[in-house]
Amino acid sequence: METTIVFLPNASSDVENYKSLIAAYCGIREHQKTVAFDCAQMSFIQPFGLNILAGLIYSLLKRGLSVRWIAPENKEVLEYLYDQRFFEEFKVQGKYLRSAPRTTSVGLKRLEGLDYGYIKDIAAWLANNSKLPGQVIRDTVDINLVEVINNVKDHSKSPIGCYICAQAYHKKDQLILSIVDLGVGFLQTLKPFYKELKSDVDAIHQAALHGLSSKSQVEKRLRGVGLSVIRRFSKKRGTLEIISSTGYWKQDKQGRITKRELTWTFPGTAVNLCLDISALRRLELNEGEVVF
Amino acid sequence: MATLKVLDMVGAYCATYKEGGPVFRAIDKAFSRDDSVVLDLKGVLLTSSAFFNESIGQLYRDYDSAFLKDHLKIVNLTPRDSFVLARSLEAAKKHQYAL
Repeated sequence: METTIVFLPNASSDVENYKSLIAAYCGIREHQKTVAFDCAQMSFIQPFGLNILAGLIYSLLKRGLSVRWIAPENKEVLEYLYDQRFFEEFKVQGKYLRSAPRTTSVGLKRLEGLDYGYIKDIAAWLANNSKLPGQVIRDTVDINLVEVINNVKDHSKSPIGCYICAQAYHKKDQLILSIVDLGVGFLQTLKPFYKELKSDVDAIHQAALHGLSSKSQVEKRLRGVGLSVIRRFSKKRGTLEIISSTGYWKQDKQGRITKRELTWTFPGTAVNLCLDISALRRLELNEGEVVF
Repeated sequence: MATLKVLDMVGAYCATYKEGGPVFRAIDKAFSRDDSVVLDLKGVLLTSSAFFNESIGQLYRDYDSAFLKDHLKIVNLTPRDSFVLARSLEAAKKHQYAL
């Protein structure tokens, strides 16, 4: 018995585009054995969409299901998948996808913890692609990716680790970093220790603004600063979007925060950074006065 | 005055709590002898909030801001290190009494 997950034409950064396909993914049971990923109509894809595609496929393969691949008909999308090393992450054998051996390439990447070689490689790759000075890119990657990867490893309990995808869009003056895990989400992690948390979006908000962390409660040590580091970095430089279960939280370039509850459940956590290349070039990292 | 070189103690990549632990213990040990500490990050390629939380932030359990101002100097911080450390210190001061 085969279930089909249909990717809609627009696999952009708008989380609402994924509502129906994630509902289909969440309904898959082991006895179904084969899942078809139908990407035929996909005409546009961004890093967030690629992370979701990769995360769901890897998760199903890890559960022992067969994944049948229906390739995009759009040549640009297909080229994008090649450019982002999708077909190094997943091998197509006949009509089916297999998990590929790890490569040293950058682009789409699955990580279960910090990989310093990858951090170095993706910084060099993005510097080349964004034409930003190497130091600016190293700061951007080191500050944001390292903090999110640490968060995933320490808190998410994600069975797939996380997928990371990044891309520079010169015409739009944007650098996008997207990280997706399929873990338990903020509320489930924090709720046992912070009874006052009411919702997923409340949990994201408190973690981003006030650095709540389950480990700080368990270990009585200082924990949970990572998200606030990213939030402070992205202010003035771009937007930060965090989606976790039913929570949607966004901070814009001016630091304004919008939050809402989704009407459906995202099966993990996504952190999407959309940074202005010109702002990265212009702004120095001067918000760092060390005061004891 | 004790000079602690992070590179020699835990290496160039200081991105997790694991690397922060030995640095914290060394500073704490020096403080217990009433020594001041110069913490030197020369040659360190990568830091994170986890590292600074563990190595510096934990000090707020036993020492207050005035003591740390008098007894701890951190040198060879890059702007990136300072940015992250500043966030860690903000949190440490805020949660000082909960640690």
